Amino acid sequence: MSSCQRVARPITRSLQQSHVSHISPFALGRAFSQSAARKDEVPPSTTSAPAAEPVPSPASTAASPSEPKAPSGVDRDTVTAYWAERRLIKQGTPPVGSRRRRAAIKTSENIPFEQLPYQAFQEARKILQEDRQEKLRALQSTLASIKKLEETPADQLPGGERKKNMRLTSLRAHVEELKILADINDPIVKRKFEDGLGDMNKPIYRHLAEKKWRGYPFRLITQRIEQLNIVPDVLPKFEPTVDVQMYFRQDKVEPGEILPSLVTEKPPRLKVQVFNSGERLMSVVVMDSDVPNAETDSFDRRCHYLAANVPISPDQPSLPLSKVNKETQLAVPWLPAFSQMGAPYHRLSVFILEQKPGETLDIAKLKELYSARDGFSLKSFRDKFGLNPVGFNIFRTVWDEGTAGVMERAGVPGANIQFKHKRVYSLKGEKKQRGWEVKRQKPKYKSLWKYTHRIRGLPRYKGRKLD
Amino acid sequence: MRLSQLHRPVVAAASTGAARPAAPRLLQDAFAALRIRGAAPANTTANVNVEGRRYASVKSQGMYRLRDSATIPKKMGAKKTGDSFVIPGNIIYKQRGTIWFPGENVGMGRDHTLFAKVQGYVKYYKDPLRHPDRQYIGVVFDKNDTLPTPPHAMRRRKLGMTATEVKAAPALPELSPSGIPNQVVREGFGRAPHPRDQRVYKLQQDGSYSYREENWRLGSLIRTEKRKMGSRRVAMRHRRRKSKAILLEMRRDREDKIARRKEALDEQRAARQKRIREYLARQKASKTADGSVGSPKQSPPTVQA
Repeated sequence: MSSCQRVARPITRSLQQSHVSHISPFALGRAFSQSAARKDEVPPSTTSAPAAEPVPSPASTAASPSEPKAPSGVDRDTVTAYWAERRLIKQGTPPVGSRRRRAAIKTSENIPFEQLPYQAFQEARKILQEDRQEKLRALQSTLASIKKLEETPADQLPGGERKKNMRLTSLRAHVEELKILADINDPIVKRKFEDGLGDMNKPIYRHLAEKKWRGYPFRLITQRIEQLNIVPDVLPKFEPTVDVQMYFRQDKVEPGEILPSLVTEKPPRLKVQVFNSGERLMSVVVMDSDVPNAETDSFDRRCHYLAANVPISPDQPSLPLSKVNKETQLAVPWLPAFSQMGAPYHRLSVFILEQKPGETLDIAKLKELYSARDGFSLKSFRDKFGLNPVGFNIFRTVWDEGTAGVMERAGVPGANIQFKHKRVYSLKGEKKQRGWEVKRQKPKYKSLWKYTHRIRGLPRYKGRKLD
Repeated sequence: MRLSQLHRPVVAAASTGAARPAAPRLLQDAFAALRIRGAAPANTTANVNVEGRRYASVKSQGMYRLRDSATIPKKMGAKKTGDSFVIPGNIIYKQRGTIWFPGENVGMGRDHTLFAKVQGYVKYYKDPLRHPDRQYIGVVFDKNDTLPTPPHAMRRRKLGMTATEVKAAPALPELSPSGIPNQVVREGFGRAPHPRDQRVYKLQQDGSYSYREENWRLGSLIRTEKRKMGSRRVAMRHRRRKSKAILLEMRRDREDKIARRKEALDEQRAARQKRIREYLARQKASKTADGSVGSPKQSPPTVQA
């Protein structure tokens, strides 16, 4: 029995009992379909007053449908069948939460938090509500003091302009903190975030998302940056602050994975999740930092993709590289990742660079500079246009069966080139060969030639038969 | 020399401070003769024995040191000095534990032996940014390069490879010079055989006129990799995958069967229709023939032997 079911068992039992005892099934169903906590459409706003206790009104109950249905008629809150889940994913409305949770919701009654029969739980909710009230009061008072401070001229304050600005910034930081603290203990907020339904324009959901990202994905990506030597090779210093996920053919790839060349033939879709408010313009660079160069006996770099002026905001994270505007955003079109036979793996790093606020890059200039692709330097690109690298992801590629076809379709020559390790000769001198057979190779021992084999590296004397 | 004999001058020196007995007088005199300087006062006679000492110039060479013949010499220590040229695989340092750590382009074996990973020059160095106390051995490509490399600088790398053009293997002709096919392909069973079940038999080139599967194809028949015994979740995934594969196979078989049945039915139907068509054509022909003759009445078709 799952934990959800275990939790729900006493409720269902009590409901069944009450159901048989006095309440009619119709009335019961209506009361619970109310479910303010479940469909809590009142967004947890930071500045407004706390959500009032739901007053069930029969009219609104009758008007609102019981659950938001997907266009296919499959409920994304309670779907458990594989085919239905797949259909929902195809439609772009993925099912909510885990399958286990959905099954639990399906089999249990839909009871809002306010009506749950757990006394300790209800007491705890009261405490949390009080705490929220307190935070909201603090927020109002801080906002008032900010306003007051802004209105006061700097020469009337101790410390002058500098002190005033310092105080204002610290107060604003405190406001942001209070906004998060007011909502952080709200179970509905927590559930909404876990279901992926949180509004990223609200500071609390951004805070939760960043906390989640800093947990494992951030550590993973920083480890990849270090292990794959991105930091000294591509950039001298780099710390990502933005979550970048990469999807090839709708499949999410782990950072640093070695991908088949057929998969990487088409450009990926990125999901760039920023954790601070507002829309900003970003540049996207995909570069290969391991292009082998046999003439110079070293590695070159190559630009595989370059786009600029891509708007990204917290609630608009999707960035399909194939869908950027050809005129205003795309500078260097996608070149499939490829690696020649025998060459060590290529690291293809995807960088998201933040442009200066309110500044757009000149695509024509970018095209002129980087259309050649070869010898691309991210460092110089960053310095030339005043960009700030914020996001990173990486995949690797090696020669495989599909690479020759990929290179042919992309019009890249060199599919028939193979790289081989240079022969390294031993530092020790040649040793004279020794042994009975070696000694008897000379014509002096002609009579013994029938018993000896010819030895490689020694001359074949006249009269010796082929063997 | 026995231990008691070795102790004797010390005993003598100790006894001189107190009363000097008559018996060891002889020894005292002998030491006095050995002394370089003249006779010392009585209170300094204690140091005298220590002063007159030969330096261990001979023994310090290790000539007389007894080696432990019961053990095998391990031959630890540096095998390459600083700035010496090495190639990949050359052993630079042998040690017990990590007295030296592997630095740039240097690897460490399972007994902590340090070896070169590239062709270059050995450098012994310390890298306080990496670790405050550790000492490293690295290999640089250029003799003038120094280690450690400055922080945030690009790594010095060499490809160490040559680019060669791959020549496509000449296609095998369909028939061998003796007129028999060079290879025979045997498909799997069923209507839509799986490519996995395809077998390719090649004509042997040793003049035996026999056909044989290539070794790599034979090898691919055997599953060598073991299932990863991990968590229950992994096991469950494998189970599911297996049952799904079986299900698909069954479904494929079923569809195959249905299709075969349908094909047979279609064939039958086609044959029947063909027969009817032929019959009608015959009818028509006979009708026209009869019409020309002038008998409109047509007898029902009779089976002709």
